[in-house]
Amino acid sequence: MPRMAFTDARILVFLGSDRQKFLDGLSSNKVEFESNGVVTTLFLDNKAKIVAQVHLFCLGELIIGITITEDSQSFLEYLNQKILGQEVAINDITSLNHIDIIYDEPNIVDGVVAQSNHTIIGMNRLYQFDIYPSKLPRENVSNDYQSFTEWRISNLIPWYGYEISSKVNPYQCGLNSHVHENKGCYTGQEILTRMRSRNKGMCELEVIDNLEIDKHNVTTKGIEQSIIIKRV
Amino acid sequence: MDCGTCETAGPVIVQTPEVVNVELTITKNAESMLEQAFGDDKSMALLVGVLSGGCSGYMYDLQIVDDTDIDCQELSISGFRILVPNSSSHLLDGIEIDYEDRLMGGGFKINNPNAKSSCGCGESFA
Repeated sequence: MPRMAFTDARILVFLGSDRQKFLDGLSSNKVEFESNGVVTTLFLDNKAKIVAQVHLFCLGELIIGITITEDSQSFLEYLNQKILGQEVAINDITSLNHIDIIYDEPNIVDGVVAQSNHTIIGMNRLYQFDIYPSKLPRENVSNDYQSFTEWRISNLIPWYGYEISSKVNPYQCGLNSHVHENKGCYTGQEILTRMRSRNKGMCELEVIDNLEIDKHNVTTKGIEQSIIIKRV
Repeated sequence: MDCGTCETAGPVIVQTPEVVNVELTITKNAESMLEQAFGDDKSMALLVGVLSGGCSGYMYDLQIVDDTDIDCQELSISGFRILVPNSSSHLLDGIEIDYEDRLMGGGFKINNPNAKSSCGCGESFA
């Protein structure tokens, strides 16, 4: 059960009666929670480039967002500017918690489970986030980033800083499942709808053998295999 | 997980932007449409607000209301009561409310000097 510290993520808490409507109106996926469910959504700029990837889940009256972005301060300012009198408040609780990734574990279940001080968030039956108070010691984390990368390549999982960045839109980095095709307007929606309807610029991730690496623009390089982004 | 609220749960404190005293204008076309909409009852008001969302990040919100619970500034322009929420006043100062009489894409339009860009349908701006 390999475990890695996920220090790139920030943890945001959304409070107030308008919190769900607020997040839904600004991001690419439908923000609706099934029981213990997790919604991954994307905040885009007006050219549909990715500003932030946020994994959202409910904890009582709160919505918690595991947020991955290149500039968290700008992202928080962007969100605060959009509140406009709605009953929404945003707290950054990153410093109060550790967040780890658990991967390559056979029995990962989707959804959110709270166990004493730990909140476990299962993602697509592939990996888990574990959030626990930073006053507790960090648990058995590994620094073996290479193993994590190899696991990510074998499961074709795009990651921020590799496939995902502020230079690409969701259809250019394998995040199609985080774009809801039938929801109303959100920033970047017109561009994504045009790409989809004209089938232009759509991409998919592919694993290639490193023997072929010279012919491609590799986004994640492994020992024997790598991930590339290929136009469909 | 330490959510930071367990021991200190209190009312949600909403950040509000700086309130600006709004000045706005209404074109003749818009005035005549408002005359039709209001009729003789000038006690009603036109609420001109902004919501988050839409293709460009902000969306205009026009409503004819009796009154509202929203914290607003009230203007009187050409005999019409105009309400502008204080929370979106910084985005609406200097706007012109126009009406375009067209079969497709017609209706009330907002010309906003604060908007850097707007979406194709004109309902959303950044």
